[in-house]
Amino acid sequence: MTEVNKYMVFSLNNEVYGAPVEQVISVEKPMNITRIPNAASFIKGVINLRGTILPVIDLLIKFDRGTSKIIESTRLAIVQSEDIRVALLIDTARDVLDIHSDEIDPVPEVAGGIHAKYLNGVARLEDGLMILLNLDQVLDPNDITLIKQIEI
Amino acid sequence: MMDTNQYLDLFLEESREHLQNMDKGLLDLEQSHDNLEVVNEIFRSAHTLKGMAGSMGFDTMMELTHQLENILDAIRNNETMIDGTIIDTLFSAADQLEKMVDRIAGGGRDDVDISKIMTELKQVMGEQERYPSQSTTTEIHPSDDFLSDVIEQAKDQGFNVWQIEVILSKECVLKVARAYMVFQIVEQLGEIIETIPVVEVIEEGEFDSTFAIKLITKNDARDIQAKLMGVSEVDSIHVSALDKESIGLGLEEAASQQVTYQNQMATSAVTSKTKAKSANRTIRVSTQRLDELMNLFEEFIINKGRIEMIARRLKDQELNETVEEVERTSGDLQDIILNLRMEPIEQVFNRFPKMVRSVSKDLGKKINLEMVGVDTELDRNVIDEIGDPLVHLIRNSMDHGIELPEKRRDANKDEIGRIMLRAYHSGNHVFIEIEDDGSGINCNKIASKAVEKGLISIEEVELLSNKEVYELMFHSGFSTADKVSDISGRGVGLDVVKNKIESLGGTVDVDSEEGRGSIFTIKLPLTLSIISSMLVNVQEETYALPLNSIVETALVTEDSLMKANGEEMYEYRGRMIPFRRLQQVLQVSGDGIQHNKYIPTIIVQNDKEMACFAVDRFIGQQEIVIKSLGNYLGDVHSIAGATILGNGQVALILDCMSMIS
Repeated sequence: MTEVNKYMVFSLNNEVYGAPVEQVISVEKPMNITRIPNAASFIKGVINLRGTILPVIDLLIKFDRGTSKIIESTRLAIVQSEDIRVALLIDTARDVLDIHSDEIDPVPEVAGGIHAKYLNGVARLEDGLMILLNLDQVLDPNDITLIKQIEI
Repeated sequence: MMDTNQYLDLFLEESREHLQNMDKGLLDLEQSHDNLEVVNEIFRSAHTLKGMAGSMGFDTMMELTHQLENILDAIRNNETMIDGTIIDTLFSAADQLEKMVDRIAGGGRDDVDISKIMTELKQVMGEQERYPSQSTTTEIHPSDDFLSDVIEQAKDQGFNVWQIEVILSKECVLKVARAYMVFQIVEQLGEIIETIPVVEVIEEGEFDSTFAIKLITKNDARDIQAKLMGVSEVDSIHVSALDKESIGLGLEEAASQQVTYQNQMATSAVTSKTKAKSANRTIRVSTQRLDELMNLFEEFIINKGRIEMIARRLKDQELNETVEEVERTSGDLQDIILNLRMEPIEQVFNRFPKMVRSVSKDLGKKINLEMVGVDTELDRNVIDEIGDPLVHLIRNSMDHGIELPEKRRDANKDEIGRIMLRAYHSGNHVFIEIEDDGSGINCNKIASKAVEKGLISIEEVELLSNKEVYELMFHSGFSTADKVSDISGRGVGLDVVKNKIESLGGTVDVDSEEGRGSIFTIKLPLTLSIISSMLVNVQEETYALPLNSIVETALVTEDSLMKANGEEMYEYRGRMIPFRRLQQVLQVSGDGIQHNKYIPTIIVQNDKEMACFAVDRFIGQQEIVIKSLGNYLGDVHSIAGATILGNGQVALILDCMSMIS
């Protein structure tokens, strides 16, 4: 018996990522982002999502792979881990896929420059690989405190 | 057994209220042993507690309150004399009850071991130990003698005493409401001395359709009748004169299953104001509903901002007038809503006298607690949160501040230490002060402790002012008690207090004079969610600065600025203050706006420190709703929160205090 999990597939800088679908709340069109001074560099700012203020995270900066550019096709994926809710900048939301656990390879310590703790694994798709995000780790607020300390 | 769960919250809330009354009463009683009115108060609370515990099926609680009642009854009948032991025993009984309530609140039962306290209670009753014949019924007979005394006295003074029998219409659905209306009228006519059944029962609507009121008044029977017949659904009113002889007769039969209630009046009953809770003038609303109301109102404020913006753009006369009208109404509405959420700080303060009493016994110190401004009102949320920090500070004063009696004598001070708890409003803030006349803070001790703990180096310490040394006490991991006592110094120190208060948007400050005492001052914002602010532009973003920290806005020319130590300074009313450009402080990049000759600046103040911040453009004043940045970001330096503007964009609220320092 293999376990099946649903992932929302999106692309980011020409690579394919997946986020556990139960943690994805919605996908929104880009909106005005208010920058936050003194915040970690991967925090692009905050948005007003129907009355709630959410931080916007640039995964590329967080994973040290460049900077996202906000273009026509950019979307904001609203994701959550426990009581934390943020918006992720993504290039395009594509699809929701069933991923069987036997399609997932464990990740080596560092997968393509991304620290393994942020990933659930890499899935083999027909047309390539999909990096499966571990949102609980990506959204760990301790990361921010760590970064704050380093920057100070 | 009936399902009592839905009443549990109510039970807990009311039990706590009554326990608090009891504590307060006991403290009063400790001061003046012969105050029978207070005994009656305590009795009433115990009695109500017993009734509530009974109906909820908490038998242990009922047993204990019953025993309490017995003692109190003996006291008020002069069968038992009050002394220190009795007071102590009553206090510990109240403690046990509190323990039960806490347990019940925690999802448990009232299964506290009461055998010890029961024995103690019975002991203090001594020889006069009485077991009432009806151990389960809750009947208190009013002393007829007392009533007749009152009546006689009233008549001597030219008052009439009436028994008013009110018969409501059989179809009446809102019995309680009608009774309430009747009471409203009757109360204006004179003093109610007794009701049948008791007020509580009437309030619950647990009467058929008839109830009676005994009233002392100057009005005549016809007048009363005429006034009361004006209440709808009242079938008939019978007013009959009451004299000494007819007492105890009357409606006794109608009250077969009820309890008679005697309003506790001093001998000067006729002139003293009745305390009968004849009818509720308040309703209970769950805080959740108030929060919902607040949330909706916040939404409304945001949308109001949007409309204002549109109106400014359209420049339509009629629209502008309407918007102004809306503005006024919403201002009033805001006052009311915020007021709804305000509660007197008394609720928090109430538990302190008892705490001070028991802690001072533990410490072997004599301490008198004085409280001023207990009716100062604070936002409900703050009330909920401020208790623990205050407990900590008071305990701190008791433990470290107030000296032992011998030591105080040696220092030529009154043996009894004094702690003053003061609350008051000032501007948009609430201040709470904890002042003691103890030994004060020993700067050297604090300094050497801080050095020892590695918080600061010896060289640095030398340079500090007294005030800065005091600040060290709020550093985490700092505790000055030589020995770790139970009271304070469990490693959780004043830093916890400071963090808590800062999380409420407040500050805490300390001042001291060695040998004379210390004073801790807590400053809290009046409300937590809506503030007046000044909106400004810096590059692409809009920022809000809380109006209460702004002194002035000014237009400044480049050539009026001076340089000192590489920093730009501005002369404001003869004083040199730092001049900072917000764009640089906030490190926001942008094309840079070319100012013409004048730079718009905002002069802000935090205590005695001032600074001048240059912005790109003033937008104007606006009421804003404070929203948090969420759990993920946590605290961001110099940002106090965010708000949503009329155009839907997010504006950050700047924390002027941290920007100055």
